[in-house]
Amino acid sequence: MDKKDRVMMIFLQECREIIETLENKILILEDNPEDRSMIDDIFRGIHTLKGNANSFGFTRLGNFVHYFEDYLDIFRKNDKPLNEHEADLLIRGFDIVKEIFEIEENETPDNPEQYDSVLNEIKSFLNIEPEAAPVELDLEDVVSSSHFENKDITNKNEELIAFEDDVIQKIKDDNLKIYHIIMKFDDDLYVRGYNHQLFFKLFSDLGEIAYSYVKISKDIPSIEVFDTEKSFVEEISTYLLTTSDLEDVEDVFEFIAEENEVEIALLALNTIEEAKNDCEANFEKILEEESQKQIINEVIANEQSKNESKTKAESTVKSNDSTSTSSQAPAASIRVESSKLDELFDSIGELVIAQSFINQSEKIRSINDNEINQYMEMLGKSTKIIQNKVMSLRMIPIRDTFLKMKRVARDVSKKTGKDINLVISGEETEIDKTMVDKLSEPLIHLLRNSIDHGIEDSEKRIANGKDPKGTVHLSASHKGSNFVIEIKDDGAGINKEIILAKAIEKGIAFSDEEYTDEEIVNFIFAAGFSTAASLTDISGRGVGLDAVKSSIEELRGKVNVETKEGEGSVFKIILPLTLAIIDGLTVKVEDDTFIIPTLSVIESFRPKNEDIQKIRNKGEFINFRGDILPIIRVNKLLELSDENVPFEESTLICIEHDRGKYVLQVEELLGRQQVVIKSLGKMMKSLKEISGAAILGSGNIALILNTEGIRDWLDSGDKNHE
Amino acid sequence: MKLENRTLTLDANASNEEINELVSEIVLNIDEIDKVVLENDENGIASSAIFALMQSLKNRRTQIDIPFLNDYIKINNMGKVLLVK
Repeated sequence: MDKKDRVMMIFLQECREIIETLENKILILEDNPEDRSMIDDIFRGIHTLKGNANSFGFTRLGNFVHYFEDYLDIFRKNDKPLNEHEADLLIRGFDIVKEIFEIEENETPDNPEQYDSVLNEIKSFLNIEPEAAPVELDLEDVVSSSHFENKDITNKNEELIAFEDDVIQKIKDDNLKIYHIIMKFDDDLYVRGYNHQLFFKLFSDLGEIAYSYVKISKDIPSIEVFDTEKSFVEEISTYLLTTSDLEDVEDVFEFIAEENEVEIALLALNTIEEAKNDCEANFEKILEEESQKQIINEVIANEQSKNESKTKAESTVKSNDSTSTSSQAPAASIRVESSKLDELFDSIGELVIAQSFINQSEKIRSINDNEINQYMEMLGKSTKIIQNKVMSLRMIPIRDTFLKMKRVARDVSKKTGKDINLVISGEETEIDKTMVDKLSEPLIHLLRNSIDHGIEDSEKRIANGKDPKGTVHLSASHKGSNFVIEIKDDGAGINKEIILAKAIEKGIAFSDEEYTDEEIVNFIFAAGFSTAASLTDISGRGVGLDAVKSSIEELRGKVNVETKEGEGSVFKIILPLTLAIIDGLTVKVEDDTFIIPTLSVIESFRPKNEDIQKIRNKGEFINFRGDILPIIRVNKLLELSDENVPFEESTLICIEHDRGKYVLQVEELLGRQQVVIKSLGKMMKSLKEISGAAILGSGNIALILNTEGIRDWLDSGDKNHE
Repeated sequence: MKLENRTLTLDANASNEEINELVSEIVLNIDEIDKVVLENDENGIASSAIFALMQSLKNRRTQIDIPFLNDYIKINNMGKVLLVK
């Protein structure tokens, strides 16, 4: 990748970030149309986007954003709050900005479907209120002229920034006027006996042409059938430097100019200089970021290289050197590729394991030297600090994802005609960035579901004595080592009779079995379940909530629902704080150590023999506080041995699962600890009962039990634990 | 027009009719062309059709190097010229 590509990559990333930030701000503005600071922020973002787009030749984006900026400028300058229609146009306009950006990025030829209609609406709006908010043409002073097109023809920023310093100096020295002339003739130009070159010959009598941009038609024929009957030059944009007046320039086209064929504008020199300054500032900013990125890469590379050489030298005493190097890293924020963070995180994981290894080494312990003990303690503390710092690098607030939900709520509210108040709290709560990216889809679905199925129509709400406006509360919080999201609505709640009837109809439940309320409600997460009377494009496709559940489980989390008829429902998503570390119970089975994620554990206990029941062809069960739960002997499950370890000599661990609790039998509970998860690789992927591995402080490897996979095994009926 | 050392030199003074006549010769020799340059542009060029011709050539055989299509070229009467796609 050369420097140009790298700069382009940074530009694209910056555009993406601007767009993401703006989307949230626009939604905040919609809620608070009088928030001046928000309008100013959005305007600045759009202005930067325009500058960036034009600097990098994204002319379609630049063109649209140019008008979009003018639209915003009206509200910015006139201190005019947006009404509902204006806010709607703002949002639709921004949707087009996002789409064009993608189109530009992918070099797709077609414009977004709504491009013209939204642009025309914006243009129309700009013309409607010219007096209230004069549209300033920020690049050129346009000179009026009778038969020449004299609108803003200035969306040629890339042409302006191409003006060289010596040309600008000549303009200043000779006090020259700059005319920007655009010739757009039909393709029958040659047949009519003209040629663009005729005009250039006449221009040369008036002054000097500095630059010409010749736009060739995209429909140009192949060379085999090429002929000059038609002109395939669609447009020539040219810059004439002269002391002549406008009338003299217009006279060049005396015999040809028909409306819209020629546009002439007098260009102020300072607009060229401003365009160049803006562009240079943009480039400087990008290059500065590039330079900062290089610095941090070098720092990381230096650190790695130092660590490697230290390892080779087996030196631990000089570890302070590395902290002095890292303190030289720039304090300003920098952009780092997430893959590099992942690598860093992995390395820290190894460091933690190595430190733990040293700490538990009998050989080192036996030295029993005060100085060494001191260094060991220092190493332990430093390792912990580094681990926490690196962990925090991956943690970001859930805020941006939550703000996106405002847009979702807005759209669903419009589509369903339900008036919704989306209340957001806990948006500063932090979570692993890799999880944030995967949370949007399930959250969107749950929110749509709450509004579409949960919140009643306003008539029904009034009849039930509720506020006609439904409320959905989206909140995030840390609970222990978990990250919890709640989507709580004050709607109708879930009707269990309807759910059960539907579940039976779909073959998910059986009419001759009894189900608890919790089990009935959880049927909504079953594959293919849908209670919607008609399928809408909002929700109710019957593939929704089970997909939500799968997505959350992929993140090693779980989703559940609590509901009260007539009062509403709460969907709760419980996730680990990070995907890279797991909080687990370490247990012993057949001299091996296993880890059970604590998120799934309800309780561990020593069983009494009288609570155990054996049922032929069904297996072993335990009466656990009134519930009869199946017992799985882990040694048999993993085929470690055939031995029936006596229950009174073992520990049982009750596992929570929405398809029903179950109990794992292990020999001994060793403790609880956080471990860095290591993948087992493709070869071991077929082991559904194991989700990964971790290296313990002793250096031993412990497999992590997959409570989901074990439940699947249990449900499959392949029980060999009897 | 001349084709030497796999470089096609186009005459900036060529009129539309002359360009039309050139096309058949260019088509016959297109596989022999690696580069296209312009000459005699001291007094500007005679027809804008020459720009379209170069673009058409490039479309037909993308490996032909036509500096005109990639960067500014100074042409008398037109200043520094850039072809825009």
